[in-house]
Amino acid sequence: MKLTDEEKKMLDGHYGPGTRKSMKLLVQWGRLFDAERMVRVDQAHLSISYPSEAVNEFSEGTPKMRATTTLHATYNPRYWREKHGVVIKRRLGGYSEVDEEIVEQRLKLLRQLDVLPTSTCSPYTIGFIPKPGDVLCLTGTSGQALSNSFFGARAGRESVSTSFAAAITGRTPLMGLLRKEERYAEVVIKVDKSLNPAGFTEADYGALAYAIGGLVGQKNVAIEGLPQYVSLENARALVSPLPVSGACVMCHVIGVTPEANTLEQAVGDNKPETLLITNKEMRESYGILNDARRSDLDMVVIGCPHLTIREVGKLASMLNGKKVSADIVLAVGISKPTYTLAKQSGYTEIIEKAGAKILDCCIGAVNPFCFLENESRIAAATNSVRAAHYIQRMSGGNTKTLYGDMKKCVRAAITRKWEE
Amino acid sequence: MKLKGRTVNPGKAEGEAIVTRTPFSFLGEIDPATGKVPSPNHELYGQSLVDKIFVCPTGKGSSAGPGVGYVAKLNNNLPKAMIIGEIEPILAAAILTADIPAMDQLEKNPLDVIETGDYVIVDADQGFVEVIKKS
Repeated sequence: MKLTDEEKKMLDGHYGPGTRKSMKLLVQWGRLFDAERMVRVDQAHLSISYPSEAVNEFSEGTPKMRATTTLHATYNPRYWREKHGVVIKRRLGGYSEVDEEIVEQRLKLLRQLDVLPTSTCSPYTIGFIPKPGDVLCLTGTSGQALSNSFFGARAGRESVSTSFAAAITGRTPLMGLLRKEERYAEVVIKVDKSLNPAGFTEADYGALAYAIGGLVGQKNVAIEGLPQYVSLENARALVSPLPVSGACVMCHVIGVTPEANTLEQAVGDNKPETLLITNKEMRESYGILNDARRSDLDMVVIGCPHLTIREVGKLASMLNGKKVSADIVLAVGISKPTYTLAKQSGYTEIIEKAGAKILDCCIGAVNPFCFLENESRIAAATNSVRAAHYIQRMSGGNTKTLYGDMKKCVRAAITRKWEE
Repeated sequence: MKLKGRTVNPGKAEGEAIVTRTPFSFLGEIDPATGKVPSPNHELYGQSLVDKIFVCPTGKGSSAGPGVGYVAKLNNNLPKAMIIGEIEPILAAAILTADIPAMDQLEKNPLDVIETGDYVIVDADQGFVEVIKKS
């Protein structure tokens, strides 16, 4: 692999052992996937689940991150305990520490390296919106999928360790989706007209994508037959499930996304097969995501991925003057900066007065209310495919799910009744 | 039987093989506190990977994998070496981060020639694997 003089200095240990180890990791990684050189990283996005020992080993002697670095949704056990009376006794999802002191010490370590404590899966909701072509090393497949598909930025298949090394060195190997020739669609999906995509709710977009992910696996996909305007909120409802039922993080929408003005542009020289999505596939998706009996409802989850300020406003208007049923936890996931803006806008007062719990953590895969010892929530309603899919699994089967749009979820939170 | 292959991460180790036919993820498929496979649906459920030569077809899934592998390393609960049919980026990152000697792209598909219990020598410095069949 060709390295610049500066990259060679990093590899030779000129900038200390942490930078050397990080660069060595990236060089070895890039060689395995035929990277010819490194590229500059515009933004790295890290996970709090990366162990402190690894943070120390791969940063030793490095005063601060070379790339602008944001932080993924964080565990916040002290806040859960103090504000919501929630105490987690076991490890989240079987692997992540939720000990208050370990989490706080790790946050401090990352702050010393100048990692911004954004604590969100969706840094684009608080202003980190990439330009087309920008190179992003993102933990979290939902952000990867949105950045590649709708922002035209370049986000590869990152992991907690490679994104950390990228933050330290400000470099990443030019491989995978960072290369133009690897971004073209390999499968074309046609959405059947009879589904009336113009009337799709966010839940319909999600169910559609859940079906598509299962069909395409890790291949890049192009979708034909969707409306020519897709809001940011519906865009991520569409792309977030692709790496949940499959491993796809590159989704062209013909006539909508920046690398897909036409089908020809999206597929390049590929000769992709075309698959049709009909009512049958949609019904299957809804079936898998609705594995609970409706009378069992006792939690509602909104904000996976974290809500945009527009969605917070919508939620506030739905809850204005209403009360969440006393038997129901309505968990709302947003980032701290969005919370601040929502507070200034008067939204949080309305939402909290209605009895909802706003949490600046992940309320999907590691929803704290699913990890209480000696307690298992019976059913959780959500408008998020990711939340439904991961809550079913990470709770060890203790939590069943109901899936529908935000309006339906909020109505269920108030009435405790899931309407078909 | 001696097979040439590609070095994923250098190093040498030898020991007893343990083979899975399913793509592997460090998240959820190795408990870093014990080195055993914790998922009931997995074909190696309950078995230990510690100090074994671990053979799998490829990697999959969660980007959290390398963190889990690193914790397993701190607890001395890793396989001694790994042989992969064809590596993918997340599993590669986990192997490099935990510094496990590993090879892929052998002359023959490792799943066809290595069985659980075989004695295997992995020399990822020289780029070969030697398989001694259990009798």
